[in-house]
Amino acid sequence: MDIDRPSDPQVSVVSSDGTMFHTTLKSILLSGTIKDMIEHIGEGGVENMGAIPLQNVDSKTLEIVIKWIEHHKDNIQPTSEEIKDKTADFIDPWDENFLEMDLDKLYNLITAANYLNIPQLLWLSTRKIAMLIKNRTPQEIRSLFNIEDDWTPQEIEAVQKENQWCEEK
Amino acid sequence: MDFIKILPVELSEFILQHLTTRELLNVTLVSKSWNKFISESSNLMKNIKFVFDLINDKFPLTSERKIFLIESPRIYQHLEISRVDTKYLKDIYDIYKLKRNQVKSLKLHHLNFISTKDLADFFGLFNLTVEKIIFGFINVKIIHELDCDEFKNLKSLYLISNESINCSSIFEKCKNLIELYIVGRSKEIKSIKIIVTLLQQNEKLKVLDLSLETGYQILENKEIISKIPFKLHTFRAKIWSKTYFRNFFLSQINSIQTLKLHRIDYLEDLQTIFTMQNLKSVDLGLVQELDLTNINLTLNTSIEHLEFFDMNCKIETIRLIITSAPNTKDMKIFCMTREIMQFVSLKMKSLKSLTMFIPMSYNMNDFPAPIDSVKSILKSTKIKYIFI
Repeated sequence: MDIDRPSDPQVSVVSSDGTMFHTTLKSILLSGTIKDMIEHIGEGGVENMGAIPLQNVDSKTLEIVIKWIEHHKDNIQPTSEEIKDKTADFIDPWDENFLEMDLDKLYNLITAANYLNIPQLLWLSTRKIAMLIKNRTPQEIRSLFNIEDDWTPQEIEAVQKENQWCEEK
Repeated sequence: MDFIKILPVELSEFILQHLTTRELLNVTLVSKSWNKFISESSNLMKNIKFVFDLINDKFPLTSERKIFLIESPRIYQHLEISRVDTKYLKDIYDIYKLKRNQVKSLKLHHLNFISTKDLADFFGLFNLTVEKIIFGFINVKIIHELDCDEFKNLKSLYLISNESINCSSIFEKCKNLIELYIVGRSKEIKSIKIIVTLLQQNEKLKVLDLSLETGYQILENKEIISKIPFKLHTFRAKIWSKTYFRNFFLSQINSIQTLKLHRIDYLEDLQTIFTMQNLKSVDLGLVQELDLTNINLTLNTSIEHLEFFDMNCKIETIRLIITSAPNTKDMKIFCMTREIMQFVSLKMKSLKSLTMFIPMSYNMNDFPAPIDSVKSILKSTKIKYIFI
């Protein structure tokens, strides 16, 4: 019988650099990748399965991911299909605040959210970068991402003209 | 830290997909590698259309610019070409002959003095990739005998108000159409041949729109109607004749989900439509003054969108239609009286949105149901007025 079984058992994950993190089953199931793994373990396996190794996520990033999934463990998550049509009508202020981090961390978070298959986190973190680009001039974008301006004046003028012929589909 | 260099292609695309088309075009100016990345990404380019328009031309096609366009890394999926002549069409042909084509949709309209041969050559560049063609207001001056290639992937074909509809023979070999629209005005009725050919060859057709202004003869043509052996889910027509109407709908009774007609003249037609149990969206057009003594319509619980013009019909007709489509969520109707509104609020429990067409000439004080009272009766319904 499952009388003594806690409703949200503990699960451990190990980062690529060998750090172990403890979280709960409900939280970790937000990751499509881990959900698939756990479903394959089958009956009675969760408590005895040991720590899940995540070779593509380092400890700094995993800590951030766990903070996010624990905060959202009770929220209904959109599927990756639903995310495609999603518009940014409302962003949870907690998420907005959570994503205040440097570009390096954001890139790692995007890569981890993709690997772990957490559509909502991937959507939020990629959107965060897009927001940094919106309403900026090309020069501002270059400085932000440290990109070299490799255009000649003639070349950029030609692309500007090509763009004038383009319309929204 | 340039994410386009660091992140996998798919993830950089995710980031840029949050931008609008204008913002994305702005981003192409950041660097050559960013421009190249966006230009070659089919996921990002799918929202951008390239427009050749001689009248609004900000960028005339000089020989220098032709070279630039040939060398540009952009791989457009959507092209629109309008108001150009044969020479210009040949220039565009030269450009795309030398580019990797991934064109999925082509819109050509308002072309004059074009020959069918030039058109056929032009389509020959895209016939393997193109999925949608909009071909409208084309006045072909020189008709050639054509030996055209097949459009293997063409799913949607729109033929709109082409003065010389014979140019449509370019499309005679389309065999995989899902949607066929032959709409607008057309001077020639000779086009029956191409319509029959297209209907014969395209058994997978799901959407058929024959809203031709002068298409009475086409729609009355027994040959055409008998060539619809397949199961449509969307059908639109402007003018219909009584003779074939019922037979057509009886053959399509289980498949049609969307129906749009210009007007309803006969009671039998209205009765047939209400027996279509998969019908989700119906626009009856103008409902004529029908004799409704002692008649009933089949209760149709599948209709969610209902639209009709009630200018001439009796209140009994409106009541009958409304009572027979009780699950309507969304209704569009000519302006209503207070009495009808009360009836709607009583019978249509699922109504979420109501659009009313109001003639500009109406004095709002004389309006049969003043707007404030509409809102108080239909409290949980979103109401929109369109002045016509």
